[in-house]
Amino acid sequence: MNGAAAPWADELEARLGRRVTSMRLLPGGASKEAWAIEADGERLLVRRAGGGVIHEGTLSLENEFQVLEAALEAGVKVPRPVAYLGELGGREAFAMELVEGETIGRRIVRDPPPGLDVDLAEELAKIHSISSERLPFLRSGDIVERFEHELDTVGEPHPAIEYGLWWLREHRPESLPDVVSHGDFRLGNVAVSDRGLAYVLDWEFAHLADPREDVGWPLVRAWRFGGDERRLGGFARVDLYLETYNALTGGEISESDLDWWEVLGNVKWGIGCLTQCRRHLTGVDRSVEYAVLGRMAAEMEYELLDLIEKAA
Amino acid sequence: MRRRLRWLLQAVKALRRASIFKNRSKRQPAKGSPASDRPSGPELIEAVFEFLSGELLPTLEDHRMKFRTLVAMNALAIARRELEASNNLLLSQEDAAELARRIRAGDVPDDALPLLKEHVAAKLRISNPAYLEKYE
Repeated sequence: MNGAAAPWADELEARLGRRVTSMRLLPGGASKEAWAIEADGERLLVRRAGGGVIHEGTLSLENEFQVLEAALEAGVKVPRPVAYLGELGGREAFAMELVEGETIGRRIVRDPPPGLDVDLAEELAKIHSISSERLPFLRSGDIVERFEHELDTVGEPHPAIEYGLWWLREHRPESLPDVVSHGDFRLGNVAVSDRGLAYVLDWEFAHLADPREDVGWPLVRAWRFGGDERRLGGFARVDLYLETYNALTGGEISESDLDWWEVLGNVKWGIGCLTQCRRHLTGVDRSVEYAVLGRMAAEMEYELLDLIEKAA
Repeated sequence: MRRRLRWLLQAVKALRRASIFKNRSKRQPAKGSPASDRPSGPELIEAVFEFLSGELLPTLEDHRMKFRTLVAMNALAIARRELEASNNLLLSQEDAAELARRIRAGDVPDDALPLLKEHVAAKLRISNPAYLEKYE
């Protein structure tokens, strides 16, 4: 075997029913491990639970695998799910196709492939067409209430985020029926080739929600990766993306409808920074990356105040 | 509370006119700071920052390690700015907690938005001054 074999390599071979000739732990997250392996000549990625506590609201690996299967059936461009592996060395894992493509937001924004806005809309429309019936574990619920609860767990006053939550409650739009939502649909979580969008990745935040939550999320300034003037992901205007999405889903979402969801997105990522920073502060995952997120939340606070000021 | 918020807003505007955030000399210790031997806290942070950027970073090949080193340098820069600009925050923890509680209860002061913008801008002058320039 090439690379460092994990102590559970035998279990892996038995579950896959294939001979594993190499395995390599990819650098990255503490809450999930990613192993690049070669099994009977095929390159696969094994996602396995890490040691730390799982983020609140993320799917188990078994459920994430089921979402991936449902997405593939709905025609979404996803890495092919290969097998749910149960527990390997005491932690659950699954195997999927190992794919290539650019995932670094800054690089995509610098040199976006033609038609990426239309590609994003097409994939999102397919995701939102997935039937929720076979995915009964997906959570739903009032998102503003959930954010209040998450902010309360931070244990530090953030009046700017409170102001954002208050504004969201005061200006809440009439809700649209829930759809299966990706939950983190933006540059950074898609793999892109020079021909366009190749794969939608990172499904652990999938849930049921108003479709505009996903539609508005890649507009948030933090996901424009420096391309501040271009509202969609820092690389394009919103119009064609929205037209395509509406045409495919029969929706009637207007660009100004997304203003509320953009404020919501900033509230969401601001709170996300604070809760991830607590992983460091509480000792769950000590990491300088998590630590600085606590100070980055102020960027989302300023943006949400600025958006609200402009909306007035 | 409301009078206090208004006073704070005026105070921060006066501070901005005096440009204490922008013009503070980088090497000058804050007034009234204890007379420690040099290097001072900020100077020590600067020394580690220079080691990371000048000596460690050029030797790294792994993309992930490079990124983490840049993040560490960013953390040091934040700490240094915080040490160099004392008493920079507009709202104390207590004021912020009181304001947060009021807003959650739906009792939002009329001038909450401009006050909060100043409060968050003061935080950003420490954590990421370049970010604020996007809004100028």
